[in-house]
Amino acid sequence: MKTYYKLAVFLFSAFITFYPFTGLSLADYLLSLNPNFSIGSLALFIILLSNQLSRRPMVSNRHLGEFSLWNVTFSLFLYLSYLGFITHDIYPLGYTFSIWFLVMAFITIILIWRGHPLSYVFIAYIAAFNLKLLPSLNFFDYITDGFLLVISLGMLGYLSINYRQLNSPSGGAAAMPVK
Amino acid sequence: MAENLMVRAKSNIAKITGIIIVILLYMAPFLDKYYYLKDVCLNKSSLEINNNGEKWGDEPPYYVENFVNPSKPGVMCHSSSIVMAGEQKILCTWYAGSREGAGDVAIYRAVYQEATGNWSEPQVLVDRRQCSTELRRHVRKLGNPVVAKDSRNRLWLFYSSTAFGGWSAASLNFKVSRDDGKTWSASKKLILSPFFNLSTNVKHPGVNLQEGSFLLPVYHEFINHFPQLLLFCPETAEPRYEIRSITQAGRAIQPVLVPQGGENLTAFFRNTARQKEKYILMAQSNDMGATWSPPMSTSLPHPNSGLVMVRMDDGAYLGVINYSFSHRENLTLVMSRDAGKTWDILKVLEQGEGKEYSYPAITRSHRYYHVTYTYERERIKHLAFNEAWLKRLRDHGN
Repeated sequence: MKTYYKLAVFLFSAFITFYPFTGLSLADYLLSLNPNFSIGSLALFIILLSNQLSRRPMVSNRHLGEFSLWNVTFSLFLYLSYLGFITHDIYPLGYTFSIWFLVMAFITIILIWRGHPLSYVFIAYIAAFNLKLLPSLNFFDYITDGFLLVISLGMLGYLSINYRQLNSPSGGAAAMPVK
Repeated sequence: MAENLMVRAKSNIAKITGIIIVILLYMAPFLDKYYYLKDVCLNKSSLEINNNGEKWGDEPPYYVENFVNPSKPGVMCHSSSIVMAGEQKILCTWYAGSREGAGDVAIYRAVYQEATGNWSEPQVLVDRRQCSTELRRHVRKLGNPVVAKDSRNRLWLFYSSTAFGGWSAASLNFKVSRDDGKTWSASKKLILSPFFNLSTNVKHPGVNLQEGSFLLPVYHEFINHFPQLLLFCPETAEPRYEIRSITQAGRAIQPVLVPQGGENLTAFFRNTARQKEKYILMAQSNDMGATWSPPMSTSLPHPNSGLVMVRMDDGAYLGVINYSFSHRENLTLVMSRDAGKTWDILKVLEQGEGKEYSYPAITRSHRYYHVTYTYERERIKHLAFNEAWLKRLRDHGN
């Protein structure tokens, strides 16, 4: 019975997301606000969904916090630079190979060597960029987007407020409390 | 012990494999930049000077004025753009509706035949509903259509749209026509900003490069105001493009690019600085827009309005501007023969207290300069004149 209920909720969610009620679907409206959801957003969505559905979380609280911190730091640096608050605009350096590609490659190699679970996300950034999977042509848009900044800020806030509870022997097992 | 060593060895092999994969993945953009892209569209070709490849002969002075569209009660129109579209034909686009930013605003087009001196009936090129259907996105309003022709005679329409908010939330879309504007492709959206794709707008056509590529001047006006340059390379199945800032100093927007030959470019900017008395800004680039001098004030007074500049055969700059610190009640033809150091007023084209004459656009056909502009927010007015007429103005005054 419970499985049917879950399936029905899933199908209903998919239907209201993709059915064009007013010529456009909810997904289209969402893409109107944020036309380029990054690989980072996709990764965070998968991590959070898997933590909700599975008893064994895909990523621990600590790693989720690190990922959120990375997203916030990188996003703020990119946006402050692009929006003219920092003299040097780094965004154009994301279209073709530049020093920032070397920096990202270096970070990815370190993560792989340390066996960090987020190394898969970093590999996915460049793999998706090479395959041109997103509408944007800029590598930085594969790493982050405005939506991811907002969610990551929320995650950081949630994790810091609930730091003790989530790290206690009873609550620390799952990255987010399993409903 | 042996098992531990085996596990460690396996782990190290996995890590090394991962690292090799990462290196290979990062090789792709490296090779793309240094072997592929370099030859396709970022080659240092000369900037095309827009004179349609012809020198004008000795013709008698010619000047004609007319309206592109009829006046309709309750209909506002604004922001025209013009380009040559076939033999002796000029295509004009503008937006019109009940008010700027209203949901009923659509982008219109009309064609001028130089031979007959007549404009065709205005037709809707794209409206909000069509734009929304083509993009599969919510569209709140449309604006600022700009038409340009590339070196392969394709016409490009760039226009801004917003899903929410004002013009500072605008993003750019484009359509392309391969038959001189008779039919157009579906609209496509450009992703030009990492922050919710805010805020890129366009006002003037750009400068052609070789292989059909071009530089399109655009601008940003979300919190800070600054001009940007879009390098557009349409030769692949999906156009490639890159955006970069011209400068982030000052409050310069709506850049007008004036090619000087070789890799030299001059840009003029609308000045949105808050001071009462401000001037049109100007900057120079000697490397096809990769780097720019800081924007400098010209001696042209400026009321924070649209302006246009073009380079004549003899190297002089011809401009159409609102010659005022505070209003758009006049539209004036100005010229500089010393690279923008000093300016002469050639003719006051329009003057009317409490009226608005603004947002000029200019293009050059084989025989004439064509200028269009917003006339009292009710119509788009068109002027056509030749170099002999300008010479007479220069020699004998207004």
